[in-house]
Amino acid sequence: MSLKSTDLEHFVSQLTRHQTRLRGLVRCLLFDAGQAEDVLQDTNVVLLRKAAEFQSGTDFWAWASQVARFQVLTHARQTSRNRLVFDDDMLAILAEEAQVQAELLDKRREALTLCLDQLPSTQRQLLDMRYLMNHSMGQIGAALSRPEGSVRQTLYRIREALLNCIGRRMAAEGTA
Amino acid sequence: MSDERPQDELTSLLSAAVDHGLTSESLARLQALLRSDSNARQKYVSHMLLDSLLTEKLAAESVVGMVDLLGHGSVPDAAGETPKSQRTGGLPADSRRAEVADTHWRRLTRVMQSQVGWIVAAALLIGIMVSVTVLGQPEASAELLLTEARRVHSLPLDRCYVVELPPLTAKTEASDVSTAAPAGILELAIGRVDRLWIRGDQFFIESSNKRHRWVWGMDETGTAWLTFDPHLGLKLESDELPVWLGKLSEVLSMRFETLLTEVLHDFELSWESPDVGAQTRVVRAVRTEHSRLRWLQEAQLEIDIETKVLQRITVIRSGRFAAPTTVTYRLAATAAQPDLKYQIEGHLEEPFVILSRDHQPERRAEILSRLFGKANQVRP
Repeated sequence: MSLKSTDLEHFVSQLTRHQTRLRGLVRCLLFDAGQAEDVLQDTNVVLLRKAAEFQSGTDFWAWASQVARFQVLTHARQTSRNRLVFDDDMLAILAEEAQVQAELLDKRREALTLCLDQLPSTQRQLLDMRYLMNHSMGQIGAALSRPEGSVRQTLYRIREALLNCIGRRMAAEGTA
Repeated sequence: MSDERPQDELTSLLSAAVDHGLTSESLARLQALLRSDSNARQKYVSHMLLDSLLTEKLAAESVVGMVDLLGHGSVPDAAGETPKSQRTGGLPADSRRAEVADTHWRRLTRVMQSQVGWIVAAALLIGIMVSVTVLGQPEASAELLLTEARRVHSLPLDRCYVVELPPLTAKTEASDVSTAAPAGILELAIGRVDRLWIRGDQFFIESSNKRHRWVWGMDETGTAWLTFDPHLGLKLESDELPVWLGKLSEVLSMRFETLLTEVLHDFELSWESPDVGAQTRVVRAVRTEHSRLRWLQEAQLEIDIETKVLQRITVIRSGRFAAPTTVTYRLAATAAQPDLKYQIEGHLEEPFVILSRDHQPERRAEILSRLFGKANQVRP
């Protein structure tokens, strides 16, 4: 089945608009961020292939998230023997929770931008090492002459602080 | 693990899950905890979603430069103009990003209007998603790459650069008496610099001159120090640093964060099309009439696309301080150095004496005068 160009434009628009949510959903289900990114790209390819099946006016997120969940499940089954993955039941339970929370992800993203600006520079530097430079805990620990466990704890506390900040901002806006 | 309090255990497991520290044993514990506790599930999902947002927000910025490797940025347009991604002057960065994102969109939809181009369109779309995450994310430009490099170089990491520096001539030095470095420093500081260690704006330079071993550095307070004997050194507080020594520190230490700030502020930036498969991009920065770094005529900054670390910096110096000279800094190592290495005490052996404003200032002035010449001596 072919697709009219206007429908195609609408489809691509929806797909790009939902990238943040799709990435978040997949990340919740896979521990390895690199694998999560691979599965997200596989999901995008499948969604593009199935573009003609999507009916304009229906819930894109509901449809796309099901495809993403299926891709994760396939990946998890293929790699479960030699990789750390949740079992099928757990994946289903977490996917339900992630699908709900991910609906507010765009708002959270906006709040995160403001919350990041409020972080002390040392904490921001640590996040940069972890996310911008993609350093491992060991590399960060070696660079800062700190034990790996201590770096891990600090990062956790920074993320907790960010989550609290995001929660406060969204509550203030009435979107929490 | 199971002896921990549930909340502590959840914290520890969440931290491991997000930061790639899970084992099969801890995965089993996490799974059991999440299965039995809906609050734990909510918390787990919140943390993973935040990790995803941080990855998207911070790491998407780190793929700046990748878009051009996909090929869109190096082809002149129909009018024969320089591709937009290579132009850096004029428009503010956000406008340029919006413009390029818009170009992406139009290009994509144009290709998609032809059903024949479906696979090409899909590949394009995926390419765009891989490289910039979504339309509207930061786009590749020399300016953005330098911004990321500046951020990376502001991190408290230690890097070692080998400095290849042609010696200045006495004639050059003598022609510029008022602010130039005095005669002695040419041999002392510029003759053969071997290794430069930098951490943000702190640095120390170790001489390779076996006859005159010395280490020269600057700590985080801006205090300059110098050792030329394992048991003797001297310090100069930031407010008593002679102009020439401050300038020389600036030039030789090549404090990258400062350099990048200045270059971004008022230099004209451009970059060449990358070679296929290249892991680095070279940004050329040329001084404009408004540039504040008068000693810097031009810089070529080779930056690793993935890590944003400066791999090689070639600077052409100019101005009153020195005749045009090309100096090259080549990244040699990234390894943690003790904090003490950026302080004078880290380069002296007991028993030692440090001459300073408060301790034997006359002797310090005499030594500086002897080393650097009398024209610009530091007063006691």
